[in-house]
Amino acid sequence: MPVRAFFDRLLRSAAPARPLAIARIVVAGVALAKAADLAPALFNLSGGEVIRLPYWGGAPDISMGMAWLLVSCWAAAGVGLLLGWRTRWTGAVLVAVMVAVLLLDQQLYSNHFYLLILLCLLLTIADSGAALSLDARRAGERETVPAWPVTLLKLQLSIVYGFAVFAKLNLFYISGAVLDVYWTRQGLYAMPDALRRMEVLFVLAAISLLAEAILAMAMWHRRTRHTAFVIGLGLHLAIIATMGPTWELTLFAFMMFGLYLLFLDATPRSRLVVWDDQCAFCRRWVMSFRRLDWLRVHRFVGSSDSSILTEAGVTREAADTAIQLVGGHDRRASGFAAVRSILEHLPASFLWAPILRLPPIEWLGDRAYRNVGARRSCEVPIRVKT
Amino acid sequence: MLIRFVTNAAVISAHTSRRASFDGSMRTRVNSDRASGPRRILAVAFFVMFLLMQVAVPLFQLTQPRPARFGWQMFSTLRADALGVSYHIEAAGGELIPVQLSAHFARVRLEIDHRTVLPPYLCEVTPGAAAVIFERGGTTTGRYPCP
Repeated sequence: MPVRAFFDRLLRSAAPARPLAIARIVVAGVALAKAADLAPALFNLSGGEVIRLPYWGGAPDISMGMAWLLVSCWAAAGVGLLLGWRTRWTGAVLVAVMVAVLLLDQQLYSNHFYLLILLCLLLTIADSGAALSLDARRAGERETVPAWPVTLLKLQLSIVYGFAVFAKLNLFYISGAVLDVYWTRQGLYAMPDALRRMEVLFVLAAISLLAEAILAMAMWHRRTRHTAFVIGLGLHLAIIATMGPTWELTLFAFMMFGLYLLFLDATPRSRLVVWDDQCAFCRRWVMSFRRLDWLRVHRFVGSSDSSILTEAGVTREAADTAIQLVGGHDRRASGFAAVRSILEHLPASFLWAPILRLPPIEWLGDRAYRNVGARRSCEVPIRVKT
Repeated sequence: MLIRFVTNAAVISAHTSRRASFDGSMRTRVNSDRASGPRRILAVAFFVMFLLMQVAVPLFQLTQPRPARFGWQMFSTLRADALGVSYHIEAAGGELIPVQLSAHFARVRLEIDHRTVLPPYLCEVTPGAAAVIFERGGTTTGRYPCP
């Protein structure tokens, strides 16, 4: 039975723990920022100076004491989740507090806040404290976690973008009227009045719809994933620059980027990087890559280790000429292509690194790599622990 | 159907999980406790229910006036009834006092129908208010008389 086989496979499979842990840190950071964002509204409601709009008649009044208690618990649990201290407990407390705040008053709702609650819930269930956490420091870091909650987190991303597209399939949006109203009229990214024409706004609306539709689907395919990362980065930067409120939209972007990371092929030590360890210049670069390889996807080995060269099927000449990458979906890459591929798998650069695939940039990068490779300083042989 | 999923999931066998110590050495262990029936049933039930809810609710919200909550309808439309509407309190002497929405809402949200919730509130908190007037483009479009 296909359904049974699906669940069988899903429950058996494991996902890398580190991308999930970084997503936890990002989302917990957003939760703390959101506490600071919503606290004034909560205190306003408790002061009785603004309208109260509870969801149902018997909702409790918000006292100043209750507001302080909620914000304090929120902040404490947020810090706990960020540090990965008793992750499941702090995550559960954080979710409970945020649900309580969400249900106190209709004015406290926002799509971003609702998404934040769902992500915290799934991160709590997903054992996101298995790595990069105080829990992991105490009990030992795990390389993998059950995959099914990670799959739910990834599906949540598609659901958000997918339904955003469906909701925008209306005349107001497609005509560009929504963009006309929300697009800032002041500052660097203000749209000039001359451009606020229906044809222009229609094209922009269509582009944004297409981008969100791509993001809902393309992340799931290996070949389109990296392109989707760049599209997502561009879309969110454009939204932040041109619309408001900037702070809320920035937090939303961070949440989504945290989810993007879960789509990255991050099997631990699955990619072997062979580099010229007799070269001081190369060493500096490799040390930087290693420091940024928070997912521990790469295994960096020097070309002086002949057993590794045999294992990787790389000749010493090739390894001494250019950095070599073996494994992962790229199979084999060298020089600039290898550098680009490494950058595409580092959390700090995976969103923008696929831009380096564009033909003119790739061509320029390749030339620059060859030039630098020919002139690099390799006088000082250095032994590096691999 | 759901019950069959859950029952089937209960027989799924154990999965392995790997632990890495800080010196980088690896050891693999079979996580038999994780594989036990009740946890698997819970996992499958949660997976199915969460996904169903996350698809069904936004789908239903597409049939509601937009923007609706829990439907991922960010920047999807404009509320035609709220667009360009300004509110004034009509004092007992006929004087019109403009209303700042941000002064009366903790957060101004488009999901909230201001025309429904604001006038009764303004009448209640403004001593001597005779009515709340809605205007659009300088034209009065509605009047809510205070009780």
